[in-house]
Amino acid sequence: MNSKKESLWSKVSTFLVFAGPATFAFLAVVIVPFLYGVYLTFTSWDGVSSNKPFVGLKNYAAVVADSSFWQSLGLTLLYVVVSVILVNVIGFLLALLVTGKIKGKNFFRAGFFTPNLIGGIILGYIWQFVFNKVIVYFGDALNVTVLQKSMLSGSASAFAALVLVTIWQFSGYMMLIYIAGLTGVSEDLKEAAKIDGCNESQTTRYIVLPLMRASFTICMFLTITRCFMIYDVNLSLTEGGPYGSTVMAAMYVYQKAFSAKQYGVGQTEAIILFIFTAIIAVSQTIINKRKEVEA
Amino acid sequence: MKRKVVAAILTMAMAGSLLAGCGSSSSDDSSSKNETTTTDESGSSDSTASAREDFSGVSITMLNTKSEIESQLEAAAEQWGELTGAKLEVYTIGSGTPSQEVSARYAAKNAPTLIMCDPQDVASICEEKGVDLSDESWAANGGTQYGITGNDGKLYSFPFCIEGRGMIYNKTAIEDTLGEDWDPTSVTNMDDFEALLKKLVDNGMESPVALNQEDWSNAGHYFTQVYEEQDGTLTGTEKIMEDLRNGSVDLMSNERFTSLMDTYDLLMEYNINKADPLAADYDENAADLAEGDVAFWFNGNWAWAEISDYIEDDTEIGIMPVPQNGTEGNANVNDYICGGATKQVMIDKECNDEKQQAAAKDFLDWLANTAEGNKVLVDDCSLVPAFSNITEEATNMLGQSIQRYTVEGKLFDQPSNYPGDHWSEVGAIMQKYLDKQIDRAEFAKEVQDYWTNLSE
Repeated sequence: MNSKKESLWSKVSTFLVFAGPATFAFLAVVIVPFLYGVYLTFTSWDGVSSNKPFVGLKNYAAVVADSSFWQSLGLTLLYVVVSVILVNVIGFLLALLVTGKIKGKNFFRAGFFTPNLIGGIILGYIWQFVFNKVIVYFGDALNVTVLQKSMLSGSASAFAALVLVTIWQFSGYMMLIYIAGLTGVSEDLKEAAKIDGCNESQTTRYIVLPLMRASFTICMFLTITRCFMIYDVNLSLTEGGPYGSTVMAAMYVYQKAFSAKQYGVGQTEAIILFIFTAIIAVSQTIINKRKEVEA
Repeated sequence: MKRKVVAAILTMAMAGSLLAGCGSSSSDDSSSKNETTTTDESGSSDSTASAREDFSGVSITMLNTKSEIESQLEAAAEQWGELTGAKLEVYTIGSGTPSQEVSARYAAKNAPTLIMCDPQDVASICEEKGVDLSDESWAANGGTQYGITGNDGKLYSFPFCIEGRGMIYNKTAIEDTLGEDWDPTSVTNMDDFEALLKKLVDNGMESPVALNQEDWSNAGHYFTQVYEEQDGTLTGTEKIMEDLRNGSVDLMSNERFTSLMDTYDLLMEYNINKADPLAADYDENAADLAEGDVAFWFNGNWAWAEISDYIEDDTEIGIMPVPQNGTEGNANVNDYICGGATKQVMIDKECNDEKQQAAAKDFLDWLANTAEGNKVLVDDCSLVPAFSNITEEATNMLGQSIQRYTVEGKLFDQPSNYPGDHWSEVGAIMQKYLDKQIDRAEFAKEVQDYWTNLSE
């Protein structure tokens, strides 16, 4: 009995030594704020006042009625679908390119990855300059009417600009994961396929792709969650403009909570955004996991 | 995975420094609290005399939300600290709105003693968190007029500076283009203005106007003139806001709306960014005005910060009212500009003890009532002070313009209770108008809808 107690204690202490700090940090910066956030959805707090009047489910009713929120969530959904597909397709193609037989592989790998190292805010400002000045300058010089108007001043083109910058930022990162997946497939298997009569594209299609499904799962998960939560590029590139037509969900939530001073409503919308993102990201992970095969 | 580890370490480091921050400040609090019990008897006697009250050992903090005066304010804090023995720590935020910062600091129960923020921030929290400043000596010299008074009738803030907005003109450029003397007062209505713009174009200035695309400029500064100039009083402003909320205003038949939008159409017509108005660049507008590529730019005296980067020494600029036709409802619109005390300083009573509050009061008193303090506001920080006892002239041309209007009392005051999202929501509608996506009737309707849809 004594020994049993000791082993329990030793288990606890081992856990505390190894996982304690991480658990504490996780509790302190994720779990507690999250639960507090859930609590705030039941109040009509304005963000400053020291009393937080309890209002029950009123905020949820307000969110359901808030058509602009659903509009921005719909826009975000569209943005996620377009960006996720393009980022992954381009990321994968880049990975194929730089694992193939070209010169200067490492240079290209570094080059494609670099955009990911630039912070979203700075990146947004750089691209704002490119869209507003550089492209317009060339449009004027070459007399191409399409280029003479900044992409950021029309609502559809500003959305396209946002997608473009997202692709530029993320596809290098996804490329890196795909490279790991591609090079992780054993040469033996590829050779065996070749002996069995597969050509290059058949090998990729039937051997390499199924074996690197795990990379797809990760990349999809990363891009989906990141695109849903986009804020920094949104803020610095378009600021939600022109005329509020590119306000993504995260920015909408922020404005609701801090500009309109309806913290409770904003927080409720944040929770809904969280649930949305979680459902989509987790279900795609489960579906993709099922399809993964092992060699 | 590695990224996550790095991120986690960073997060922990930041959390650690946060905790450390809280710890040290709370120990400050407790030490000064001890002193309070022994020396509180003297209370906060007003100290207009040159010798300042002794606040040795008291340590207070100030939130500064005008990042351009960071170093000047820090120097002033040190100067005052030497006189009183107190320690004033100024910390400045450069990004994010003051209200977010204030929210965050109150959430952390670590509010600064002196809080510089926007009028609506004071108005929203003053009765609950603010120290009553009604009896301060500066209250009579303009404090009550420009500071924020709570619903309970008490004065809660120190008006830190006056800022005004209107048409910034480049007198030198206009005179060079026209080849004759030009006086801003010669423009008495929109027709004069239109004639002048035409003349400028005829004489070779292709596009004499720069118009910002920013929502805060269009809705927060230009469109708010519609409310503030109804009859030129705060009561009139409150009334139209109230009427807009219950939907009893038809903007299209409102004189101020019509005349201001007529002028806005004119500005759009002569806008240097006309081809693509929403791609206008703020800094480029400043450079265009300073260098005389345009003659007019709608903005306020804070734009001096950007203009001064480009302006030549002998260029003369200033601010004048936005020229309008239709002056039946308010005869002063072409003589007055819109403005007010845009930065307010309140003193927190929730996280700071009485001794700290008294020291904070003393600092404000020093700014308003001593020669050194006035010098800080006017010379060092280049502000337009709100107090009538300060006679020093503002240090830059835009400030001087505003000061002239302030001294002559030709200022339409601004309310402190615009809805927090007014500038972004109405700004978006205004951008649509600027980009000619909607006509004026649609614009008016969308603005009215914004007001009637405001909750509560």
